[in-house]
Parts: sequence; C-alpha cells; structure tokens
Amino acid sequence: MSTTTARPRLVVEGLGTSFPTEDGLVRSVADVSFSVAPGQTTALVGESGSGKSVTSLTLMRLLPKSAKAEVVGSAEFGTRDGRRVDLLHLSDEAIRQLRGNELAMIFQEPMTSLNPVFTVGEQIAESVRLHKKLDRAAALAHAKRMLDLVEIPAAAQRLHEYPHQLSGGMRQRVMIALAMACDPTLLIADEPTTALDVTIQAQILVLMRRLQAETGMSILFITHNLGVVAHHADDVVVMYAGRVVERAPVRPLFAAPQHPYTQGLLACLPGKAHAAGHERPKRLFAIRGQVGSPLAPPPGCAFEPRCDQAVAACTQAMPPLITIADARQARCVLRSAA
Amino acid sequence: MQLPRIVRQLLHRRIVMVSAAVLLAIVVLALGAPWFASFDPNDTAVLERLKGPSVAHLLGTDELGRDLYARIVYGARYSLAIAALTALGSVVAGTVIGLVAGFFRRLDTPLMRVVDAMMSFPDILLAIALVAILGPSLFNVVFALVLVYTPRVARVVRASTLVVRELLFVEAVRALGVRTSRILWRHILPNLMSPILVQVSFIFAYAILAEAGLSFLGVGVPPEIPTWGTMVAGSQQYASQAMGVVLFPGLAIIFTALSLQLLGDGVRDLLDPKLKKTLS
Repeated sequence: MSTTTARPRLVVEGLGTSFPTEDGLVRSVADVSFSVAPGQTTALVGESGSGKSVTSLTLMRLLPKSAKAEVVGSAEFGTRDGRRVDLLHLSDEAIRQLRGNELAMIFQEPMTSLNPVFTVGEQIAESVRLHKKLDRAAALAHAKRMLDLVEIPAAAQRLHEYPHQLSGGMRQRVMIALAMACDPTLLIADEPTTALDVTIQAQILVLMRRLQAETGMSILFITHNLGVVAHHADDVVVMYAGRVVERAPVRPLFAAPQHPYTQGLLACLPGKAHAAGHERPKRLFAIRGQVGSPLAPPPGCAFEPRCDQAVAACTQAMPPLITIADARQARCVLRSAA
Repeated sequence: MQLPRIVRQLLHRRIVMVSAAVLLAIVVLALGAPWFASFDPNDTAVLERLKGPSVAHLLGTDELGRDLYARIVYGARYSLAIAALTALGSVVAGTVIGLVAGFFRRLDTPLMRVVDAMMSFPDILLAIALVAILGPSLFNVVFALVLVYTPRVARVVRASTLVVRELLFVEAVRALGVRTSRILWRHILPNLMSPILVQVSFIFAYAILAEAGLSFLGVGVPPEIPTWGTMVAGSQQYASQAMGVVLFPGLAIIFTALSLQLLGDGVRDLLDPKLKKTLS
C-alpha cells in the first residue's frame, strides 16, 4: 500500500471521446485531464451535456460498440496488486475482470438499475461469485453482510425480495451494496442521488462517505449539484462543453472560483450570490443562454457566447488550461499563469 | 411472490379454467391411451365398418372398422407430440435468433431479413414445400413446422429484447464485469419469459391445426400413423355414410386448438396488464 498511496489511484491524461454522426464528428469530451487520489473524492461537475457521463462511461469502457466512439488519451489506474494499467487500452477481457472487482460504478436511476426478475440477494451474489469465486451459499452470506453494511434494515429478509418491493432510496443502497460487494478501490458514482428525495440524498451521501472512510476507496463523483460537491469532494473538476474549464481543491474553488463559468455556477446558488460579491439579487442568478451545439463549436472559448467577461481574444482560439497556483488550473484568457 | 398471484387470477377466469381442464383431459387421455381405449387403434374389423356410436364402439368405427374412439385417443399422442415438439423447437430457435438479432445490432439486419423472407411465405405453403422436398415422416413434419413458426417467435423475442437491452440494469451488470453471454442468458432472457410463454401456447395451437392440414393434404405424417389429421384425410370420402369419421377427429382438433388459444389469450392478458385494461 505504501508505494501506491503516494500515487493517485487514477490519472486521466488528455482524454477525448468523439462520436461519428451523420452530421459530422461530435467531440463529446476533449482534452480532459484529472486524477483521483487514494481514499479521496474527485467531483466532476458540469451541466447536462458537458460530457461528464461520457467521461465516466469511457473510463469504464461501457460506451456501446455501435456508437463507434473514438477515444484518445490515457487513464492510468493503479490496481490492487500494484500494477499501473491504462484503462483505455486494456483488452476487453482484462477490463471486464477489473469491472465490479476493482472498478465499480453506480448509476443515476436506482429504479431501473436492478434486474426486476431477480432478488436483490441473487444480484449481489452474482458479482461476488464472479470475481471472488465463492459458492452460492457463501456469496449469499456475503450479500447479506453487504446489505447490513449499507444499513438496510432486516437485511436477511430483504435479501429475498425483488427490486419492485423496495423504495428508491433502498434500491440505491442495494446498488451501492452491489458496487461495493467486491471491495473496489475506485467507485465511479454517476449522479447517484439525483433521482432521490433530498432527505434520502443526504443519507446516501453520508453512507458513501462512511464506506469510503472504512475501505479507503477513491470516488469519482459525477454531479451537477454544487452543494453536494462542497460537502463531499476533495478535488473538483469543472467541465463545460466537454472540456475541463477549472480544476482545484474544493476549498479554494468555492472561496475564489477562477473561471467565469465556475463563478456563474456558484452565483446560481441561492445565498451564494451575495457572498460572491454580487449585489443582493432579487431573483436567482442564471447564466444566460445554453450550452452550444457540439456539432458547431465556436472557434474560440466554448463559454464565450455566454460569458459576461468575454474579450476579443476569447473568440480567437480555445484558451489552454493555465496553471494558476498549486493544483489549480483554469481555462480562461483572463487568468495568467502563476 | 409473483406466481401465486398469477395462478390466483387464472383461477378466477372461467374461460381459462375450462380451457385448461379440456387440455388436461386430452393430455390424460393421450398418456393413458391403453387404459382408456378397449380396442387397438389399428385393429380392423371389416364387418363393423362405418358404424355409428354404440356401446361397443363409443364413437363408432371408420371405413376399415377401426374403433374411432381408440384412434382419437391414440392419435392425440401423435398430434400433441408433434405440436409440442414444434412449439418447443420453434421457441428455442426463435428465441436464440431473436435474442441475438435484438442484442447485437450488427446481426439484426441480416438475421431479420431472412426471417422476413420466411414470413412472407404463407405458412401452410412453406410447410407443404418443405415436406414435399424432405419426404413425409414424423420428423420431417415437425422440422417443417419448426421452420415455419421460428420467424414468428424470433420477431416477438427481438422486439422484446430491443426494449430490455436499453434498460439501465443491463449497463449496470456490465459495469459489474458480467460477460456478454451471461448478460444475454441470465439477465435478458428471464425478462422475456412472458411473451415467450404466450408464444408457446399459440404455436402449440397453430401446430395442431397445421399438422392436421398437412396430413389432410397428404403431405403430412404417413397415413398409417393415426393422427387427427390423417384420420380426417383417410376417411373424408366416407363422410356422407358415417359423419363420425370426420366429425369426431375434427372436434378433437377444434377443442384442443381452441382451448390452447383461449389459454394463451388468458395468460397474455394477465401478464400484460396494460393490454387487459384496453380489452375489458
């Protein structure tokens, strides 16, 4: 462990995913770099269509083959046995063996992410039998322990229930149990609380943090909810139109956002607007306009059409990601390198 | 938890229950044929030919004096076996084709165009052509009927697969590292069981009719084997002298096929609550 704790568990460099369509190549994700440290949470933040889900699916290699995605870059992952592997270039069989075992993923929709015709116990047991080669009885016993771990009451009974008998919050707990069953070192959580009630959201987030503290796993947390980010992330990667626009540890990011988009996002939060130096608004702040079409990106900065601070240089070329301070980067011409 | 509810609801439906009872009776008669029939189905008695129903011959005799009741009961064995094998064969083949076509998009078009081509032939014509080429035998009739009904199952299974494969749980189990083959058989197939079960009952009914039709047209089972189809076919010219020779095997065909259809309808309505609402 001592050798791997120093190095990030996942290092993504220059990740790009494009899809050929009839109207041309759609660059869903371009030039995305970030890392996830052991036992830490990196949040991937952005609005719908910013490429955060495509990023996670690319890392898990779950994009449908029929999409003919063109993927560039690298994603170096530190396995349990100390090897460094590139997730994007592993063989199908090798990535399959990592999935569910060392890499796990939970999804946005707990209502449909469980197979309706199997009991939750069978579904958890399947993953354990697959990766840990346990027999049926041992796998079911393990499944019960997992349900206990995610604080499902009456786990022994729930084990034999079908997904439709559980509430949304319970199903998301089952999904977490399923993802955690083989003790993964990296959990990719794609908006795991979006479909849940606010009170249940908080419970699920607390549960995930507890599990992280107990197991030392890393979490790549994909969300559009900045409140969740502030409470649960260690590092934040803000994405806009498929690119990273800002990267920072969580406290500096919220204290002094560098990119106009991040500033706008924070200003959208009720109560944050005042603190960020804006006049006390009568209405909630909203970033004007909407995300442009990925088919015809502007020649310059992708955010320029919506940016209140845009200058002439913004329309010329896509600004590079500038390192402003230690572990802080922003993609904006208004910022100068440290 | 689900099965008892469905069984309970089935018990409340009189048509379904009557159909099931009729089918059960036919199956019991067929299986226990030697105990239920006092004559050998192939024993001829020329002096007793074309008799109407009597105490000795419950349903009368045919043109060779063979006991009609014994022939129907023994014939049920062949008719039901042919239909059951047809249903089984076409459901297995159709499910494999439908699953593969629905799941692997690249194979969809080539597989389904072949299926479409086969479906564009009228059922009975295709079966006649196949038996004519292969020669009449029990096996060849089953084989021809399986080929005829496989496309039907393949279409239904493909359509259902297209729906199920897009559900998030398929991606979720993939994210757990489950192999594609296992996803297909263990996760998608069980979700298709209700449309498949309904197809089984319908094809069973169609196959009974089709076997009778083929035998009647002389391209079915060899005439010496008693099936309901060969009975009608062999005795049709004597129908004016003794109605029973075509009436009784015909009734057996009707009751069996009708019961299967009604049972299939009932099961489908129960398994598809949306459809039930629009019907009632």
